[in-house]
Parts: sequence; structure tokens; C-alpha cells
Amino acid sequence: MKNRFGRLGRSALVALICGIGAAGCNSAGGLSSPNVTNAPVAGFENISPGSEEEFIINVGRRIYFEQGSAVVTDEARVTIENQARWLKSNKKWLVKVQGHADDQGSEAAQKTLSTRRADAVMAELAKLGVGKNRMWVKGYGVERPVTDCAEVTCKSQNRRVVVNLREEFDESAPQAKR
Amino acid sequence: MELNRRIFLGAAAAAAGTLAMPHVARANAAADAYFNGYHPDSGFEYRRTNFKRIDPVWHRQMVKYLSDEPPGTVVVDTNNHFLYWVWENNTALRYGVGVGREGFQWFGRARIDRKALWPRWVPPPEMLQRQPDLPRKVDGGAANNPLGPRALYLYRDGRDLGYRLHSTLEPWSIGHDVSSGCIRMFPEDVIDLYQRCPKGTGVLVLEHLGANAG
Repeated sequence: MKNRFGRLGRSALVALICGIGAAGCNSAGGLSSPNVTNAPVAGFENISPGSEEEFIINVGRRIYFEQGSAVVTDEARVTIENQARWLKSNKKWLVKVQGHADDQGSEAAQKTLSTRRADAVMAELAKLGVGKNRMWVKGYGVERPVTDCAEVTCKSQNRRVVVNLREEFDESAPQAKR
Repeated sequence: MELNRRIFLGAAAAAAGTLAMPHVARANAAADAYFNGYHPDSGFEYRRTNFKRIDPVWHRQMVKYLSDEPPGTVVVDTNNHFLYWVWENNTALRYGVGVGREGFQWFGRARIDRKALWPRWVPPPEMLQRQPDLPRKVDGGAANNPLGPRALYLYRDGRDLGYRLHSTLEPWSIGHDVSSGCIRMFPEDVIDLYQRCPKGTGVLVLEHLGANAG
């Protein structure tokens, strides 16, 4: 019992110090990372090459599209080229290419648009040498927005494709049905 | 920040072709330690940052970020020289930035309505007044263009606020109040941010509570 209280007291003290905003909370040796701004995020402290964390920090998963369009812009192609380079040197990952929309039209039309966006990105990745047998697409339509509001600040974030690293095919992958 | 200033002057003098002066050569060598070759980019090249020479606190990293700002928002904390790109589950990608010597004069909400690759630089009139020797304009891609490979322009209600997020030729200035006006980032970082922020991205600039001029 004494030990448990001792530990509680210690973490409460850390929380108190960090709550005040003191520097050095990031490196509180041996203690779990406090839930405050600037504290390290589990998995991202020591990033190993070829990890999903490296892909997120050094490459980026999201590719954006213009309103109502599934055309890959020059700007989007820069991200796709970086992704292709990384995926070709990290062949253990499968790639689920997820399309999203926050555009005009019915939900069905947006689902179609989101699928066309995902198809366009997968085609570019394939053209750059990423094996088609590793990749599959799914259009989510208006589901899973980054953020939800009527302003362009939100909508521009949602008109996107997310290149998602996977260890296994899921039920949306045609490869899984073979 | 006397050292930074010396390095800067040394680099500027070297660029002007006064390499014969030994103290300039020394300062130039100190500046060179911050770089690691060149990196081709869209038909031009920038000097790659030697991140071994940079305090890890200014490296791009994922951190916890507790705020009400929605994912996809850029938050600039000029006081602490951090820029956050809000991600998911109370996390953010954090970048180190450099800030104007006299403090960032503007704070509040803005939007990235314009983005540019290797933009031309035209020094604003106030800067020309302080430094009359500055060129009237520097072409995009030129080695002495302080904006570097990318710029993101802050607008409000369709009006250009005159503030930008851009690159720097002086990696040692990241984490300090040294430039005039804008928010400067490592070239690698501003290129990274450019890819993550579509036009229309919301920006929140926190108030600069007190400028610690060099």
C-alpha cells in the first residue's frame, strides 16, 4: 500500500509541475509521458526506418484534391512521388488507398468521387513502380472527415486521399477474396 | 545573438565576394557547418540543413497538443518559436520557427489562400528603409532569395495580410527572434508543411507576449 501511494504522489507531482507549464516535462526520466502539450507521443519518440511513424512524419499520408475533382495536381504528385519512393524501399507494407469527399452533390455522387480520387492515386503509385498486388482502394464518400464544418477551412481538408499502411488485406480488398 | 549576427554578416559578405578577409572566411566556415550539401527541387536547389548541428527541440516531431483547434489547423506560437500542424487524437506535428526581431506584429485567425513555389522576393518598404543596400527584388530560385523554396501566404477575408510562412537561408535563426516580420522555417520543413496544407487551411497566430529582441 505504501508503495502505491508513493507512486501516486509522484505522478501527481509531475502532473502539477507540468500543469504549470514548466520546461523539461518531455524528459521526465522513467515516468510515463504526461498528457500535456509538447509531451512526446508514444511510438514517435525513437522512430525506426521503415516504420509507420516514419512514413507519417517524413512522407505524409494525405493527398488533397480540388473541389469536385479527381485529377491529381502537380502539387499532389509531389507527395505521391515521395510515397512511392518510400513504399518501394519498404515492401513489407500493404497499402490501402482511402478516398474521401466533402464536395457538392448527393452522398452517392460523393462516394463515387471519393473512389475516383483513390483510383487516381493508386494509378499514379502503380505508374511509379509500386506493385498493384500490394494496393487496393476504398471510397468513403463523406464518411470520416478530418474536421466537419461548412467553411472551406474544413472542406479543403476533407477532399483527400489517405495512403494507409496495412499489415493485412481487409474485407474491402479484392486480394483477400482470392 | 551576437554570434548569429556575425555569422549572418559573414555569409552576406562572402556572397558579396569579399572572401579575402580572414575573419569573414572564419565566420563563413561557422555558417557552413549548418549545411549539408544541396538538394534539387523543382528546377532549383536549396542548401540542405545539417540537422546534427540543430538542437533537437527544433526538429520536426510529433507531440501531444491539447487544444480546441480542429485537425488540419496551423497554430503559430511565436513566443515559443513553434508551429503546430494539428493532427488527430490531441497530437500535432511540431516545427521550429524563427520570428521577427520586433515580434510578430499580428495575431489572430487567418487562412492560407495562396501558396507559391520558389517565389520572387520583394523587400517591403520598411525593410528597405532600415537596410537601403538590399536589392529591390530577388528572383525565385536565386541563391540569395530569403523566401527559399516555398511560401504560404496568410489572408483574412480575401485580403493579403502581408505575413508569410517561408524558408530561411539562416538555419541558425530557427528558435530565435531575428528576422523581420515573417515566420521562417528550415527549407525541408516548409516544403513538408506546404504538402500538408491545402489552400483554405485555417491558421491561428497566437499573440506574441513579449519580443526578446536578439
